[in-house]
Amino acid sequence: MKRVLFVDDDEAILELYHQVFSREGYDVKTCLTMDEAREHLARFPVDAVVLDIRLAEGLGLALLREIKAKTPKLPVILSTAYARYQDDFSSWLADAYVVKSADLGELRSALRRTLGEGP
Amino acid sequence: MRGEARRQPWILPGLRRGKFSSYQKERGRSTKILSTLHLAAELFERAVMPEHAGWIALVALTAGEGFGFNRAFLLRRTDGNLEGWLGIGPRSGEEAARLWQQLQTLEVKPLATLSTFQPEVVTQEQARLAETLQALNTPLHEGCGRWRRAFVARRDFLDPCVKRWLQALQSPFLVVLPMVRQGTFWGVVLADNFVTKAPISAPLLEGAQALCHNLQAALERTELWARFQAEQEARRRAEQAVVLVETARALAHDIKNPLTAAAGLLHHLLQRKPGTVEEWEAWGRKVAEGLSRVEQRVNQLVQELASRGQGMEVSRTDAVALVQRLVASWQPLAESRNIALHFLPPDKPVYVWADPAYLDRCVENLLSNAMKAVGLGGEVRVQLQEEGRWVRLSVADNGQPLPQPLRADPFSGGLGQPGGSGEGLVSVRRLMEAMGGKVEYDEDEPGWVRFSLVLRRCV
Repeated sequence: MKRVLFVDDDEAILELYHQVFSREGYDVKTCLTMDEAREHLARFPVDAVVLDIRLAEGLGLALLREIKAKTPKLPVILSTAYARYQDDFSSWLADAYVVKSADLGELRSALRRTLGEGP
Repeated sequence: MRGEARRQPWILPGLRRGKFSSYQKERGRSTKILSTLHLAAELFERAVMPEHAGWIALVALTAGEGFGFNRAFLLRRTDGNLEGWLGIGPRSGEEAARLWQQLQTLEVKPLATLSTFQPEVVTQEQARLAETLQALNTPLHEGCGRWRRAFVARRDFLDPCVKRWLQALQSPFLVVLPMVRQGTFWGVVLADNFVTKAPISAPLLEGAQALCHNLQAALERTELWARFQAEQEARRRAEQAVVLVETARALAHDIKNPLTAAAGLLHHLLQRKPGTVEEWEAWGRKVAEGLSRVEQRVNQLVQELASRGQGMEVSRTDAVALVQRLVASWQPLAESRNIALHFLPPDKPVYVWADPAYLDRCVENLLSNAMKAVGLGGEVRVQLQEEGRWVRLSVADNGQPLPQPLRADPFSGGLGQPGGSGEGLVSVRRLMEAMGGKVEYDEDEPGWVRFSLVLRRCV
């Protein structure tokens, strides 16, 4: 079972991810803050990270850079409500960029693609 | 300069000295020149547009009750050229007769019209004299911009610029009034008496030069003013752009997030079709919570946008009434969460300098943060205290203390609650500073976190 870490400061969004992706066979882990995510990543291996950009304590792009510096091969998908972050050079480090939507199809496809599970 | 050396302007025809009647006549003219200069100086002070300043000078030069020239033109330097910019007066003898007759019949005193600036009149005159102004356009040849003093030029004048103007205007003689700023040639005023052929006296020439000197100062001032206005406008636009981007981000984060979650959960619910009523209810509650958050945020944004549309208007504001109203609006939520929300109003009215809409937003933000921080069953205290020329409006809660790193400056944007942008306190600080106030944070009372809005007291 692939373990995916979702980082978002919105509890309802994390709840949604948990409900949907657990049923699809992923081992879903959730973190509300960057610190929590750092701690989790230090202690547990994960297969992919889905990271919100605008978090309560700052931009998730900082965490993206940290992850890519330590584990360049760990896939990171940026998920954000504000599409223009794609213009930020730092966001190019990510393996995929998804604009948040109630339809999780795009995120699902990006997750499968980055985990090598299909197109 | 060459023209000045060749001919002394004050020995031009018409200036006779020695006869008593001529002396009286000249004295009368000098008085008129001085009063025109005085009036023009006052009017220049009020001019905020270069066109206005230029128009004042041209009207003063051509008005019968002023310097009395038949016509006048203002040429300004643009790169390597002198450009015909503003003009006033008739184009021919016939037009002059008609125009002056009209002015006489209607008893129009041109100087009296200058108290109110009518840009459309200037534009009309520019359009009427467009051909002449065009003909006055001159490349700045060697020597053209070196004049420093006013002079009168005749047709045999050697300077190429002046020759061109004399030809274009068909003038018997032309008064050339250079405008020089800190050694740099800025432009020139031309005036003539092509219809009346009236001679140019020394006082008239000197008066015209003084007028152009004042015009020069007025033009410098209007240019500075225009530059200042342009900078203000550029800054305003930049601020607007920042606000728009911030609004877009806030919309995306604070509205789209809960909306996405609510809609996503609903989709999921419909696909899963839970088996029990309890399960349906649990899911329904989650969706409803998400939608309530959206509604709350939309309300805040609508208020915020309305305030921005109106601009900030700081006025005498009843702080007690404002706090009472806001606390009352939060009471139902506090009760539902078993939170004790207190506000003990002072025994006398307290007035502050604030924009009520923006102050509302700041207090709302602090109350919202405090309610989130205490969770279920906590306590939130709102206080209003006069401190000399300041008024402290504080919201304290006995919820979780701030994380250590944020205590130094919780208004810097680092503080956020799950589900919030964390930038509300940044806006609070910005708004408070815009209203002449400040924000403070302390944990002086053990177990309590207190945020304060410190406002200017209105006595």
